[in-house]
Amino acid sequence: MKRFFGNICAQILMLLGVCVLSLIGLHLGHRYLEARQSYLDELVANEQVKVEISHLLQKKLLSISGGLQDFTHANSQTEIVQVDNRLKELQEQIFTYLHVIEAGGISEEVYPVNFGDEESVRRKLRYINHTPNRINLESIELRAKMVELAEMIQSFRQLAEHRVVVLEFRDPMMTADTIRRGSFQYKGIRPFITRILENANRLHFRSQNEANRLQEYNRHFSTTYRRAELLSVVIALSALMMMGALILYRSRRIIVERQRYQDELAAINETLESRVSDRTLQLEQEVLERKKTEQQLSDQARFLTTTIESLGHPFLVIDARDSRVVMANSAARKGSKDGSAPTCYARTHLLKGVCDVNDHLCTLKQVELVGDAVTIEHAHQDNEGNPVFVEVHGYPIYDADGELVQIIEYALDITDRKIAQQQLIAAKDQLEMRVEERTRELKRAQKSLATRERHFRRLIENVTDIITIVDADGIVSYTSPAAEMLFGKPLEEIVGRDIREFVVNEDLKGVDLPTLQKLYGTTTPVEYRVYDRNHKIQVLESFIQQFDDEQSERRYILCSRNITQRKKAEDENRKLSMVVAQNPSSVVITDVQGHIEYVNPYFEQATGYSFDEVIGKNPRVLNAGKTPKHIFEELWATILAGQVWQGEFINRKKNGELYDESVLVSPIKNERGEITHFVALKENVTELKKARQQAEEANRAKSEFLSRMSHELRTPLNAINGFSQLMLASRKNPLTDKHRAMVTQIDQAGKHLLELINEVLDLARIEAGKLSLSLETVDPCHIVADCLPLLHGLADTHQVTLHSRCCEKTFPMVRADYTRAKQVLVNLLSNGIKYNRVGGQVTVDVVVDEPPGFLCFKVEDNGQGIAEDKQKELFVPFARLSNDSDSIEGTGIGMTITRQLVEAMGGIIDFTSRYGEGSTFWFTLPLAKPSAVHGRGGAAEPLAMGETVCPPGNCATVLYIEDNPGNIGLMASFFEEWSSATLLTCSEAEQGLEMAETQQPDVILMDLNLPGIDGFEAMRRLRSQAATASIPVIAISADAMKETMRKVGQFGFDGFVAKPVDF
Amino acid sequence: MEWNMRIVVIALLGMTLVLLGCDPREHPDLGRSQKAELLVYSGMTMVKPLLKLAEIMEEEHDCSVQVTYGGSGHITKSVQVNQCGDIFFPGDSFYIEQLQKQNLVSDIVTVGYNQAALFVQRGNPLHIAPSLNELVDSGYNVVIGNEFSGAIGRETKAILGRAGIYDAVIENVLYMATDSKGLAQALRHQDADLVINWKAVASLPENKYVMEILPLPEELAARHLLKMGVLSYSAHPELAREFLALANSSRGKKIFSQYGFVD
Repeated sequence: MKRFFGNICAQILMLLGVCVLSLIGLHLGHRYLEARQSYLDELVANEQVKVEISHLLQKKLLSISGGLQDFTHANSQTEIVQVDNRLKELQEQIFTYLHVIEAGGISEEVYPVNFGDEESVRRKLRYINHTPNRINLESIELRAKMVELAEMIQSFRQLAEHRVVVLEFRDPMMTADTIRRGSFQYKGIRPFITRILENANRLHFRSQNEANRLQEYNRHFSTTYRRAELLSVVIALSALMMMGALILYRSRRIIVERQRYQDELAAINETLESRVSDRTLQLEQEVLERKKTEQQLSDQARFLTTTIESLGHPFLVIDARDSRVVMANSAARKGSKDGSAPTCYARTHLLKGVCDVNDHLCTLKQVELVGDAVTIEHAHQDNEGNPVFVEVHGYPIYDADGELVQIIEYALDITDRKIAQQQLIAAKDQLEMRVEERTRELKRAQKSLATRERHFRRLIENVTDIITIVDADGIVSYTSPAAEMLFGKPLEEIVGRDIREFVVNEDLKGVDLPTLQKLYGTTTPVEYRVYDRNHKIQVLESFIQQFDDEQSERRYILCSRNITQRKKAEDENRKLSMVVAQNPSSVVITDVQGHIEYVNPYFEQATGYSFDEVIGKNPRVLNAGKTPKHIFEELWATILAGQVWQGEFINRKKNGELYDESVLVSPIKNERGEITHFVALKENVTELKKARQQAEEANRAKSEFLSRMSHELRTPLNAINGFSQLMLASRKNPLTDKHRAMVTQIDQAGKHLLELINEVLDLARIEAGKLSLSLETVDPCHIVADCLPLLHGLADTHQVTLHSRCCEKTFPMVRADYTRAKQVLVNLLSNGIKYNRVGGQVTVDVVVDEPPGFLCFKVEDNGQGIAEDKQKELFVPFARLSNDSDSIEGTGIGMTITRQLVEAMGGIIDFTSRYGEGSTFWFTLPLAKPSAVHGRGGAAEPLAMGETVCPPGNCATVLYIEDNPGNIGLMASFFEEWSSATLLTCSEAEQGLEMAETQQPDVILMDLNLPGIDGFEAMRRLRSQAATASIPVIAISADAMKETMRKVGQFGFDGFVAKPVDF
Repeated sequence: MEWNMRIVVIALLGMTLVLLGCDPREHPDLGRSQKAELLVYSGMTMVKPLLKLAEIMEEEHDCSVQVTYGGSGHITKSVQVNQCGDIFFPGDSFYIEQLQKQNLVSDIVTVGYNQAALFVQRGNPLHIAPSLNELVDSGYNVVIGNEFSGAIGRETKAILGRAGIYDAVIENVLYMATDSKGLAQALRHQDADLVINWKAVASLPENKYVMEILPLPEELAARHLLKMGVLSYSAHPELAREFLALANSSRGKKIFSQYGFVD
């Protein structure tokens, strides 16, 4: 391979080969992609054919559907045959289409064109099914349905033929039967055709989706194809160019390298010649220099020998192997004991061996041992026996191999220096002993001092009082850590500052410490205020002590204590004392035995007893003997148990006057929870009780007035409304149109008056606080569901549409009075209808948790809306806001009552309105607790008063006991009209009781307000007698107050009808 | 450098060989897996649970399940006309027994039941009584099933025939729907106030909040067993039996129960 890459011709040949291969590859790729593209186009076109076939199939099916209609219009056998042939042809075409779609093939379609000579054009649709083995659901379904359709068409044909025959006979019964049969068939065919068309549509859309899918695939392939082809060309060209470039590069490199090698050879030859001549010259110079150096060395050796010889102290060169002296100067020779001895130890010490002993080390041995220069001391004695100290220096001399061959030894006499040194050491030892002794003494003193200082510091640091030392100018020179806590500044910052900087300006301003010390002395504290770390005022008291310091300067010690809490407690005590003293109620404090320890001034005013008169005595001095004993027993039992007692006494003042007193007695306990005192708060409630009694009497009078008003107003209305209704409904005595119009006016006015009375009474009840609500858990859906039917009539009258957005929803239960909640919603809905426009809409909706914990009912209308300036009057009684309010029924207090009712049930009511666009009224009711039991599971069954058909000879007997002749007449008239029952009447209760016993009526209608014995007494008597005890009794009264209703229930009446009776 | 040249040459040769080996007329869908295909004929009412079973079957057996649905009369006719398919599942056992007599179906299993009832708009706004006589009331828009198309039509005819009011009801109906879906559509599109349909239809999500059942006593509307069988034309009988086993299993029962076919 290396040889190949070294051969330029071989590489060029390979490049040509690759070029040829690339061209072949590109050509093959292009041909493949072209063929693929063409095939995909064919597939798309094929699917388009399927789409067209499926479309034609749809058209044919629609034609069949139309053709079936033609059967019904055919009036002759010929027409029927024509229709049938056409339908068969269509069926055959459809089957052909299905076959082509499933198995592939050609279907031919004839299009009428009328191109002059040419009337129609035939078009062949060729379809190939490429996946014939896959299930085609639409074809399967369509084929089956087409078979059924063929049967139906036959059935229709038979019917049509039958019809033609029947028409010829003109038999009405047969005609009717044929029409009926035809009707039966048509009722079934339409859904069937729909299903077939669904199948055809599915086939069409699935084909279309398939065609789109293939088209998309084709488009994607086409794009990819263009990119791939381009990429292939680019890659091939790039590869060829790269290869060409590579071969060129290699060829050039081979030529260049060859040239470089030749140049290098020539250069090496030249270099070698010049080096030989240079080397010769260099060697000659080196010989000359070496001679010169030898001469210099010789001179130096001579100089050194002379120098050593002239040295004053001994200088020896000793052979390291045998301690032989190689060289010795004159001093060495002189100082030696035997100057001719060959070895050093023989020369110096006359020894035969090495002089290396404990106190006399051999220099040579030491140098050998250390491997470096050494200095050792030798102690000798001179001739007179005096010690002589010598300092011997040894220096090693190594050969070229690093071997120690010789040493240089020279000695110095250090006797004088040595003696002086020994003297100094002795003096130093003495000094050190003395220093140690003094140091021990100092440490003992310091320890004692530190212990004392620690004691004092701990004392100062833990004292909560602030101890401060100041000079006569007030500058702080020391303060204890408690100051740091108080002022929130480090001690270093406090020291050096004027103490008056911390004091509130007004306190001690301009007063200097000497003056203060003189004024207050050392036993009386000075009180003043300072600012603490939070810049809050704290109260301090300080004792001032003066003293003179070491420099005889006058200084002051301030021993300060924070008394802020104490001052506050004193203030609180003062306030409480003032409260007790100035309380407009009597305050009595006793000890545990009940001895009075304190009474406030009001006590003196209220009872007439002075403080001195009652102190130490028992509060029973006030006892008038009118309060029951058990109250006192209960009082003592309660307060001794540590609880608060509240009650009332009847007491006597000092002047003998009796008064009612409301008392609250509470035990006072100490820190251990033991009762130490009792405090009693007493209030004279004599006047209050009188006022309450008067108010209750007034309230009773008001209730009675309302009851009477209700009765007195309803009684005549009963006659007015009842008679007018009877006149309008009477079939026996029908009214003329004129009279009917008049009586209608009376009836409407009466109803309006009744509504007004009801609402006024309602309002009066609410305002008097007499409204009693029966709050229970109510399903809001039932409220809405019950209200809507009540208003459909009104909505129809005003041509307004009523909607509910909460029909199918479920909501949490609310806590409300069911009847009142309905009343509120009905009122809002009826307003929405009445104040709407023709064609308007009123919508009721319910929203949960708006606000949280409430359910919001919304009534929205698109009526007139309320002008902004009138909106504030909406809840004002008798304010009618609409411009045409006169034409709209209503009392004007409905919204006032509505608001009162909503608020009484714990909700709120409000509205938003835009004039000309409509209003939205909403009210909320509180959600019931989840565990609450359903109060009303469903809507109450209305008591329908329908016409009862009484069996002949078995009519009911009704006894009516009523003192008012008008009411008797009204009831009699009603029973005249209602022939299903017989009415017996009487005007007195006693008479009524007799009639009840003798006549045994089926039901008794009893007026409650009767002369003599009233209705309640009569009822009691009826129930007490066996003969009348089981007769149902219904109370009738114009007094529809709640109390009356409750009483009716208590007396066991079976029902209650309020006057005026709505017949 | 030498390696780069080798790679280029090998790549060119490889690409050429690949191109030579490709067929330009290969159908794009040929790549799709050639799974076994099961064709199921289902009555309209049961199509939703059946599609769920089909999903499970496809996952567990690596096959494709195609479901054709419609009125039971239609699917019976479809089996007879097309003479292909694997499983037959009509809305009433009557149809399966018909094919059984012709030896076209075997391995029958029972997976649930159907029962007819009166259907009205949700909340019964017209306060229609749960009585068959209401179907004769001309004040109501009545739609019933076609006796020839679907099981519900056949059952309706049987119920009304026993009550002796079939002709009167036919006089009163607006049209006759082909199947239970058509009947449900009539109520959903407010075409009808009152229809007779299978009770299970009310369990379907699209109907649940639109219509309401007025049940009929079992003496009037008996329960009809839902049976499923393997067709003699089946190309994959083993796979079809697996499907039946799945439908008859506890999983299958649970699915049918969710759609109101099993108590």
